[in-house]
Amino acid sequence: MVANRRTILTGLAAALAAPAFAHHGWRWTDSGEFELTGIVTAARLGNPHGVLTIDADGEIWTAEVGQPWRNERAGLTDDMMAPGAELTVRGQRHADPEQLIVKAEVVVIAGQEYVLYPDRV
Amino acid sequence: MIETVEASDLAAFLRRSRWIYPLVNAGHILGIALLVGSVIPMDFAVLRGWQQPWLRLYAIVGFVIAVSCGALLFIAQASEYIVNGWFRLKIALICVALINAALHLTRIAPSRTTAALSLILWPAALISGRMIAYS
Repeated sequence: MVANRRTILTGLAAALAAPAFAHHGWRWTDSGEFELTGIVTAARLGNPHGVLTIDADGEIWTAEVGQPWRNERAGLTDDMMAPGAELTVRGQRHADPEQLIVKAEVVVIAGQEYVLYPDRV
Repeated sequence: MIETVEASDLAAFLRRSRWIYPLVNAGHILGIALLVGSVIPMDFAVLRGWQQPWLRLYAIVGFVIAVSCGALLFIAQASEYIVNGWFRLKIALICVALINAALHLTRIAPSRTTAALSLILWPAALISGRMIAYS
């Protein structure tokens, strides 16, 4: 009975935690390094999440960048990530290969590195 | 209308702030905790034939905190929330839960019925709200 209840609770927790589009932390990503280069087609910067849409040779990716304070600390401005900008995102991609989502640790623009997560690189 | 709200100085400030936005977020959670945390014991009390009216004040204060902070979170990206299915479901559930509460307070409906409905509606609204971040 107790085991049953625990199974149900664990299942429920897993169902609620299994994100279609996770944002916080790194548990949802593949732990390997990943790099994506393309043109920004849309940008939504600011709380709760900074999200860029990137066209990488016809593949449409979603790149999660930092909140404003993190982007600012890295030296990134909204203008640098505005639609039309060409940039490279280094970070971790979604653990599900079907999902074209990457969370940025570093953004590279014109050879200059902007480090969002200094502890991770 | 929605675009105007999202373009307001207050919305822009919330989007850019480092500490205020997460604090408002925490306030929203605190309000929900107070609201649902007092509604559920009240509902069970009614179902058992007891009364716990002193909890009502906490539920009302919780509701006011949750709505105030929720409104601030909403305006930061209003155009995205307004088209979100979970957000719409949540607002609909809250409206039904409020009507249910009014029926309870005015004794129009049997109190056990409204208590049972309340026990479903408020947690359902909470779950729908949480799902917005996963849609």
